[in-house]
Amino acid sequence: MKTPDWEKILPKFQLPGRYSGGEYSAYPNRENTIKFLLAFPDDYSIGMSSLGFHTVGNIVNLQPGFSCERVFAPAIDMEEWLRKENYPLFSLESKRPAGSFDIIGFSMQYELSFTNFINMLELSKIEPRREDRQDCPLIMGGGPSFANPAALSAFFDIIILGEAEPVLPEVLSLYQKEKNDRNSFLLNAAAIEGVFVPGISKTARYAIFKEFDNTYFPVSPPQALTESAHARINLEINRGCRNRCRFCQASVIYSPYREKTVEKLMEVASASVASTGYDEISLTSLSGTDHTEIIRLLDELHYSFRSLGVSAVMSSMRPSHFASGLAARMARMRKGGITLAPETPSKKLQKVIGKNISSEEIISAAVEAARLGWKRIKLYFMIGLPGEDAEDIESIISFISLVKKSSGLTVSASISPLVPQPHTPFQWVSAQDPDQLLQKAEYIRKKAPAKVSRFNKGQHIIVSILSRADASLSELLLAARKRGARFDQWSEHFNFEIWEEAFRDIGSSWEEYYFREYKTSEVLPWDNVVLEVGRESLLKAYQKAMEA
Amino acid sequence: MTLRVRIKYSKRYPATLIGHLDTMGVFQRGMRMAGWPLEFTRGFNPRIKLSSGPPLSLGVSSNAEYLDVALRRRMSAYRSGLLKEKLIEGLEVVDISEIEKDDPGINTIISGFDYQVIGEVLEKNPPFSKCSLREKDGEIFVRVMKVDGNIANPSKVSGLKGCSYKKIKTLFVD
Ligand code: SF4
Repeated sequence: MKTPDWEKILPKFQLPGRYSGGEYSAYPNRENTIKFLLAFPDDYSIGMSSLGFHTVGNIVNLQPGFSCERVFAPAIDMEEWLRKENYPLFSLESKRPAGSFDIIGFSMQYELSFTNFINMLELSKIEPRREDRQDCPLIMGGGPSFANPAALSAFFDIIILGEAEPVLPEVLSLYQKEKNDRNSFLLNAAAIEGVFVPGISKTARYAIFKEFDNTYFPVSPPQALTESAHARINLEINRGCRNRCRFCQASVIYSPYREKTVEKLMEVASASVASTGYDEISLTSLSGTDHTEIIRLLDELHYSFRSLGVSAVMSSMRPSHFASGLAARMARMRKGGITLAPETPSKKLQKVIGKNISSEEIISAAVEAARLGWKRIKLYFMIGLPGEDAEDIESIISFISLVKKSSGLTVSASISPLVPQPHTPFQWVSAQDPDQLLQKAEYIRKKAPAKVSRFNKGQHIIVSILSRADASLSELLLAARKRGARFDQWSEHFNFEIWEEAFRDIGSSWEEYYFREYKTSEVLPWDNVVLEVGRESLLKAYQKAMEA
Repeated sequence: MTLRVRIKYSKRYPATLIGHLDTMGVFQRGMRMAGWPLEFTRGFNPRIKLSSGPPLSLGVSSNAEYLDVALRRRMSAYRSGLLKEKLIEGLEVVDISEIEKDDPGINTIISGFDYQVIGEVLEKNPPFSKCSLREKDGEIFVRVMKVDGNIANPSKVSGLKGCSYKKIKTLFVD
């Protein structure tokens, strides 16, 4: 295999900067170390703005005796070139073939990247199925997709369940000791809390990082040079959420709620500004405005960084905070519009989902936002909720009109269908007919005085199926990949016909999986993942929702 | 007090793989990291006051690129030198010099570029009028001049096929 003249070849590809490496704070190249390839199964621009991805890279690089490199799903033109030249997928830093690394660790964050993951193994000339492999790098996985590891288990040697910070260092030390005996390593790793070894583990606990407040933080992760849109510091201010909306998986898998102190955050922010040169700090969290000291934090960020031309931004907030002076602080940032998620204005459905932001609260928040100078507001709604009827859909339309009339703001709305997710009280419910969902969304789009964004029906179907997948669906993923599925998250690449055929290939149909309703007496495919929030409390919440 | 500084820099692989705007982004971040006393535009989204010469095409290296930036005050040699360490692989500061308040901006004083042709020339056609070819010691050079405020890309006007370019010189008015 001849090493290509990258300097000559790379400029021929679109956005070649995504293969070049050599960015700010690119990972150091250390000799005589165990080589860990951190892989993200989607485009460079997405992976590089993922905090979880950088967190893992940082852990590996801090581990004595290890060095980390990166690889992303190659764009279509690069993939074609790799296949034509029969050249293997290579790392950014040293441009070494992926298959020559000791460990490849995939960051699995959403269902529509699964086919890219399989494609990346193929391009690395590694058999996707674990049982077909021999003498290959250790294929490791981590990330929120493993809240349900059932369909992915067939492809991974070892899975880190939950938050990587408390688990990965121990796994890496063990690997270092036992790198010459894979079986013994896997057996011993299975005993570590937060590790699931397919074929060995029966159940495993989902790991939670207890020292969240005091954690080290990827202050200076490698920074993307292309796609400047994402060029900013992601400051994680809290983890988890104090609310428990019944459709929400994130609040369950990141439970309990934890937050960093303002002092720690200011320390991290200063270090990040100094080491990145970014001019924007984005406060990332599930529900940022719930941080107990959010006002003090915003004030300190504002006064410390204003003279450096650095501003802090926060995208979404809860309406109740408008009363508390928070809005005035946010008005100071005035970047983009304001985002609120009422989900549903129907009192009945609010009881079903257990999220009770009253319509009055939202309206007065919108009025306050307009007074402070905002021009636009974005509202998130959810359809397809259990017990929903025509009146509930009408209520979304009249609510949008009311917000618009009383505040004078330009309203845009996003309508997304419920995806019943593992480890939520809705894990047992059947998903609504996708055609009906689409009709409802179209109806709202026509009637509401707002710009309403659509959802993609096919993508919704596949996400819903894969999120509650059982082990049989690993075959589906292989079949879809074989028929050419990749970059499914990108509507321009997503092709539902491929998936329909893939279902036929495995002797089934999408309907069979999509409309599946689970009984509360059944064992669920993801019951082997043990969370802080137990099944009992989910069941109670489910029953409450069904009574509402 | 506003002060203007002109940076001359070179660009080589792998920095040649990032486009013009991204390159400007790297300089802005580099200057921030180096703690330069930058001057910002007013308003909600303060921006660094920066202007540059014409964009360089992807994949093309250069030993003479320029950009102007406004500062609030004069800085120490140490601080200005710090920028060198805050750039990425392939971007190198060649020179930093102060310019007068009313000096014309970099974009108005550039009049053209000299490129060296690298690689095998597959086909030689007469070049378009905006450019001239010159051969010396077996090497081919292309000169592209500014017309109506624009400087064309050498691959578009040189009449050479199958080769790539390396910028070797920036030409100035007078
Ligand atoms: S939907 Fe938002 S507010 Fe509700 S539980 Fe999830 S993160 Fe919290």
